[in-house]
Amino acid sequence: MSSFRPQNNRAWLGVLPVVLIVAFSAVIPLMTVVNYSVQDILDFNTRFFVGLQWYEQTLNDPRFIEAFLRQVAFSLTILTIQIPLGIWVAKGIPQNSRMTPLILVVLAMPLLIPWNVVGTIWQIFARPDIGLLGVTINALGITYNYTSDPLHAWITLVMMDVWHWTSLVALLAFAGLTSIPQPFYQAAELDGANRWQMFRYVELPRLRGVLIIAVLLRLMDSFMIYTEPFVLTGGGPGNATTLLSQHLATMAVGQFDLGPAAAFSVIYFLFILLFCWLFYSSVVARNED
Amino acid sequence: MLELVGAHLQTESQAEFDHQFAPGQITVVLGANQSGKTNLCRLVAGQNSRARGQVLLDGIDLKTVDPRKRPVSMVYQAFVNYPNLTVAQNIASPLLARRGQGMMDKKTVAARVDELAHKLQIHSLLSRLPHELSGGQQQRLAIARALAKQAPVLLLDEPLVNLDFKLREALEIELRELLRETNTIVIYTSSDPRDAFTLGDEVLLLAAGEKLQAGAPLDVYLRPQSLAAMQLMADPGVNKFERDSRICALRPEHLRTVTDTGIDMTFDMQVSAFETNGSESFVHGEVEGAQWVMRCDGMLRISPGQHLKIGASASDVVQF
Repeated sequence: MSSFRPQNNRAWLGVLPVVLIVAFSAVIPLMTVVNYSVQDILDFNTRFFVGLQWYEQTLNDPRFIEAFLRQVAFSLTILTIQIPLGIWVAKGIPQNSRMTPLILVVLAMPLLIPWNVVGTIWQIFARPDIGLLGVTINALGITYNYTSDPLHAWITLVMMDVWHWTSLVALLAFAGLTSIPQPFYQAAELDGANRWQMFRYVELPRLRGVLIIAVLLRLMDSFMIYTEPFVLTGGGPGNATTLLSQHLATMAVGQFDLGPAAAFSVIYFLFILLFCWLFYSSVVARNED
Repeated sequence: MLELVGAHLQTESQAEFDHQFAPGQITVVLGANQSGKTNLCRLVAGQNSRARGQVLLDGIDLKTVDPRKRPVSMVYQAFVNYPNLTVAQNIASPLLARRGQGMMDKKTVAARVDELAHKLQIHSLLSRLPHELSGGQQQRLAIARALAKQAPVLLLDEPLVNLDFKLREALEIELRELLRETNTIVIYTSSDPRDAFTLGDEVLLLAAGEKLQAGAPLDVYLRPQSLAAMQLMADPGVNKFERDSRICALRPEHLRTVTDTGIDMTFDMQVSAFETNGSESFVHGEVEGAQWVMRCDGMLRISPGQHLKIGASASDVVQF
């Protein structure tokens, strides 16, 4: 019995690197943020414990609430576009063609482009004076200027995100579709199912798993979006496209309000966690009915 | 009457054949893997496969009929049901999908579902989802779905291979009763000759897309036209030997130890393996340079390595 003990303890050494990495990359920074969020920091030696004051202040801050509502609107908009569009694109990809790998590579390209480059591409693409999109729309007789009109800025932002991320949903859905055995389609066909019924009763139930992952990924990612709108609109015109992360960056880096920014971060983090948990538990609970 | 004209089941072979399936009859299509059984089903069902050929139902070319409206239903090897519909909804699915075409009202559908669920003994499971059923129940459901359509042609593509042995035998007997009642043209594919005897009114032997022989199972068993046909109808296999430069074959069940009566030819067997389940035994060994197998009733005291004198009645020898 006792001869096994040293071996068992040695196994902890194997886990140690992971523990260290997680500690330095996640736990310690998170705890630092929590620590900042309850203090008023004037400089490194002068700090006061203020309790939940920054939390109260953040939650009552109209700019926070506006940014939060904009954020929710943004995430819901891109989800309602990207999920159906992604499925539709995935259904259009041939499954056993020589073209399939090529199509998948082309489809994955937006995902491989660095985020600030995506922002830059669209910033130029949509410019009404020299951008292909902006000039074309204006040439059609529609006044379009995303730097001055909030609605145009929103549409451009949503279009950019749809362009950037629909591929992810499409690739996930495609993987789900290829795993459906042919007899399921054939049986439905002989049952006389039309295309909608085929989708509703054969494909959709088997896409559930990957679609839950797709919605979760897109929900979390879109809630944290920073780089692309920062490059594209800088949050403007005015504050029209200032989403949560950008508001946070302004507070933390721009105004150096570390305490309020830390409280904001914790709330932000909890919101993402809460949304994902609510979504996940609601679909999983429905599954168990 | 269902007619296949110029059926070409496999791209690798040139073989084409004609065959007629009669209403109220179960035709067991017997063939090894890749012999074209599934392609035959798909050809009849009108679903994409490499098979070509004309399919005539009562003289009407089915090619002109959209697969969605084909008078054909099919049960697959995999348990194919709609995962998010209950058992009752699943059975009703082929009826409901057609309801738009003015086929059935709700009451008739409910009655039909109830009747089929009783026939297939899944009436206590009507509100369950397919994933809550056992494999055997899932396949019962798939069969009920196929029957619900009341199509004049029913295809069963190795429906029982994914079930365990006992369940298979039980369902097979039930299926026979169920299918005999109707005036349906039933095509049942299998690789097990026993299915031909338990289910088939007729057997159609396929090898590499080619029709080897067709007829009543017992006729085909007694009078095989080729060694391949005899091989397909034999379990576990046939024993080949040569006499006067003609190929001859004996079935495992026709071999006996020499102590038995009614023997007019003998062979020397070098026993290589022996298996028994108590009620019957299989002796594997080498005879005249070929691998043979003998099937006997009960247990025998035989061990591998031993020499055995075996014999058969000359009337059981099939010559080709």
